[in-house]
Amino acid sequence: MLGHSTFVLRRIVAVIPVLVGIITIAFVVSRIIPGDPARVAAGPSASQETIDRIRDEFGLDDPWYAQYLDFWSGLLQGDLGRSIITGKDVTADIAEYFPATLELTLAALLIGSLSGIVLGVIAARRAGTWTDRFLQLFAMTNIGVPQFWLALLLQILASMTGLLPVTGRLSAATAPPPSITGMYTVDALLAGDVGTFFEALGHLLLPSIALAAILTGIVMRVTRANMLDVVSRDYIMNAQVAAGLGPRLVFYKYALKNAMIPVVSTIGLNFGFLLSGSLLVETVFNWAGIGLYTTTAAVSQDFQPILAGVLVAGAAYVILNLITDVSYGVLDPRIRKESA
Amino acid sequence: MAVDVAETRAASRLRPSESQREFFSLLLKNPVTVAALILLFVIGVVAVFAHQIAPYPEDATGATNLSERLQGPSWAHPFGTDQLGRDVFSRVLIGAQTSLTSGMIPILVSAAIGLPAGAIAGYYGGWIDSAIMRVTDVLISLPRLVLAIAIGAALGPSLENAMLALIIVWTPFYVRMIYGQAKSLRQEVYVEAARALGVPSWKIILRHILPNCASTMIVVFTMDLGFGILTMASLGFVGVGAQPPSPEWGAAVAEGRSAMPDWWWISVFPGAAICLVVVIFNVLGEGLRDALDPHARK
Amino acid sequence: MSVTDPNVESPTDTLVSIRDLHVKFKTWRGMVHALRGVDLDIAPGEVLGVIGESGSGKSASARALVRALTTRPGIVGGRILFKGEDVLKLSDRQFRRLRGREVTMVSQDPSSSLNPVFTVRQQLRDVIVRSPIRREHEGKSRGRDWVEAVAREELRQVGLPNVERVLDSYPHQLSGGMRQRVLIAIALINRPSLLIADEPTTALDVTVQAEILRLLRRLAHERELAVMFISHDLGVVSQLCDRVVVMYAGRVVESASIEDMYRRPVHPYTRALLALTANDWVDRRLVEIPGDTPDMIEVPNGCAFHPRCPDARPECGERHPEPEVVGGGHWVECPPQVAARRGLQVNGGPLPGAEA
Repeated sequence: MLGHSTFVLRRIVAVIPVLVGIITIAFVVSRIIPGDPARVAAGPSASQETIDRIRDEFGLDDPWYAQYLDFWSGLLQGDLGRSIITGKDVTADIAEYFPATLELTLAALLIGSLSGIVLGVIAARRAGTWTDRFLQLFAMTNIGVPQFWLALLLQILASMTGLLPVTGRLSAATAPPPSITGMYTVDALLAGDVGTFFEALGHLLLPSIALAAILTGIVMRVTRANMLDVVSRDYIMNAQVAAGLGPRLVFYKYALKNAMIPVVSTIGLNFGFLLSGSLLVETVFNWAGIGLYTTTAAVSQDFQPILAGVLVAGAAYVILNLITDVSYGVLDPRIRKESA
Repeated sequence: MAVDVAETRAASRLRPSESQREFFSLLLKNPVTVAALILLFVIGVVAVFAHQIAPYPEDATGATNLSERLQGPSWAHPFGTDQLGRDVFSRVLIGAQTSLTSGMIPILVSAAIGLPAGAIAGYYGGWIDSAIMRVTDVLISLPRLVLAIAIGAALGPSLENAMLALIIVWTPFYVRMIYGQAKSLRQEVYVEAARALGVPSWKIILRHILPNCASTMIVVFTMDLGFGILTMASLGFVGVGAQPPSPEWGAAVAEGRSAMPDWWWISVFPGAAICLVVVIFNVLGEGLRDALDPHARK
Repeated sequence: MSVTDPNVESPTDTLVSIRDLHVKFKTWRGMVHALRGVDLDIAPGEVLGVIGESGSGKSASARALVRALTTRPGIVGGRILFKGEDVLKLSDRQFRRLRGREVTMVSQDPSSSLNPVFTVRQQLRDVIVRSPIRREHEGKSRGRDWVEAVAREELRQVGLPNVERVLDSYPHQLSGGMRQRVLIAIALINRPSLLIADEPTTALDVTVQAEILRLLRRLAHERELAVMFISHDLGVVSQLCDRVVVMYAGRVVESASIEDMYRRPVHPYTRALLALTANDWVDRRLVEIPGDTPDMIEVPNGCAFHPRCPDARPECGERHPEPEVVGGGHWVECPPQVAARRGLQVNGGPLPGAEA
């Protein structure tokens, strides 16, 4: 499908200036920190010599354009500096914490989308009834509930009932499975370790529900609205009047496929909420991902990790929008024709 | 084709009295919206008179009462007390003042800056258009909360800095929102007619473009007031917004974390307040949308 | 051809018999009385033309027949008999036996009637596997092949040239005429007794129009299919139909064979329509029917056409005109004209408005 590949290529090229912009913003943000980060890093009792050494090491005295270029060269070499607090390479930190966030986000994406679609279809089928009204209120609550508060509520519930674990990715006694993807659930499955798999899953469940809530609400509303819209279209009536197809087939096959097209892009557009939410949810559940890493750094004004966090979020967002754009073409045959 | 000036004026303005009456009747028809309006009013009143209403207002400004620490909800303390013996109910009430204002003001400022900027970009086109679009393109590519936390942290954890961060992060969205509408409205017949008649651009923007974007703007703005409060609370929770001992709701939830899960009320009630307010604004926004454009929803 | 007289109870051999059908729907301005007592018969295998302006109620009649009215309250009175059974008394479930199977419909706009995200093949398959054709093929061939073969045959029958390409296509890849043919094919898979065609050629080019009309005529005759052909264009109808009814303001005002309608029209509205078709210009002035179509919220008293009628009498605005038979299978709702004709016939001499 040659037409399809130019479509994808053009989208990718359009994204590059945005990435450059994001990187620049991240740089600006990390450098507007007032006060002396070197002093903060060195500690209150450090000598001037130590402080100077740190300043030199981090290039804090160089003019801003030198720092910017330095920053770029470092980036392109994969060097994101070092965390003043942990002392480790930020790149290494990111690599270590990234899979956890990925695991959490994917789980939330799955839970949020599926529950949203199912509930949206139910609400549309029963439009106007009390079920529908209740579901709409439910969706609205999901969108408005503070993610960190929901996470806390789930924690309280789990603690009181003792059903599910409330912190971390695995209990302290369990060793993580051999790392292939870095995602404990997937790795455990790949290693055939069913016990660890279920334990990792149990730890994953509550945080991903807390993270998914807002997505459930949004997807549900969009699905419901689209289903109701599609159901009033001519081809739906035609299917029943000209072809005699039954209402269930018409609703769940003919209408649904059409209604789903905007849902995919909705999920893509609202991916940002998952990224933001991961910061909060990881903090509450002590989930060792990039969110927790970034918020810890934020409170201590450790600027390299903050910068890295922004970069990762921006890159993820951009990539996801790209995927969404492309998948739109897969779902709606009319779009494919336009870009060919 | 000569364009009748009177017709131009008429087309560009909604017939005031007729549509206003219709609007209010539609708005008040929905019982859920009415409930939201009433609740909002009540909350507003409570927030204004929080110091008078709260049973232990001093608990919100630094007083501690260690002999009464960690007590569960009771008649004396409807929301219980926290680790320092402070009455959670009073703190929630007085915290409303901080949470509500610090959440809503940045949204107002963002709208005040963003709407004109977007209207200008969309209307004038040319290099202003491209410049503003490139900048906002990048800014909206970052999730708002992430960027706000980063900026808030960079500026230094404080309430004022968090509000500034929120403004920086939110404005691009308003710019983009009105940009699209301004651009398409520019093609409308009555706008071209006005330009042909020599009406100055700023007047056109003010009297023709902005009012026609009004309905979407109002709905989004209303819901954003709620989301602004939510984001400020999130910043407070993370630690880059309001700082303890401020009774700001997000910070209060964070303070209560160490007492979890046994003394759950310390975190739960401030969080519930946030949730309630946000949902109310959302419901209100929905009601406004239905009232302003009844054909938009089935 | 059966004699159809609305004053007579529905003849037993007729396929469709509509009696005194009333349809109302609520608009923000008031209650629209869209159908005000429609009487209509369709014989098996008959091609009936339904003529009228927009707002006359022709589309509403069709939609009422298939119970596809979307506005409230909808059908508020009357009977619709299909093969002797009152369709309005059936439950939704029972009615689904008929709709899309015994009675199908092809609409005006082919571009929106096909599902855009499925190929033609997929849409045909869904209908074929549930159709009576299935019984003919079950057990005969192996597996899925028979559906494909049937699909190809059905498309060939409606005159589509490269069937393979059409089957593989999505609706937006086909031209308007091709889409309309596909829709007709779909409508006929279940071998209905009645096909309702609601202005199926209005959205198409004139050349394509002629082809579709020929197609419909051929199919009607080959398959003994009754067709209810709705149009505003008398010229189109004359090419296709055996019999015609003329609708005005929610009622059928005249019903006759196509020949009678052209040779001996009685109702002033019908005569005006024929004059329009014959020549657009008379004495260098554009021919038109004076006045406006009536407001269906407040219909004029008596005969709905009387404010525009050149031969109106005082009683036309007072009493509602009853239908009267003027000949074999020809009835009309215009007592003054009928009386005039009877008078003239008795006295001899040419009938007014007759075409030579």
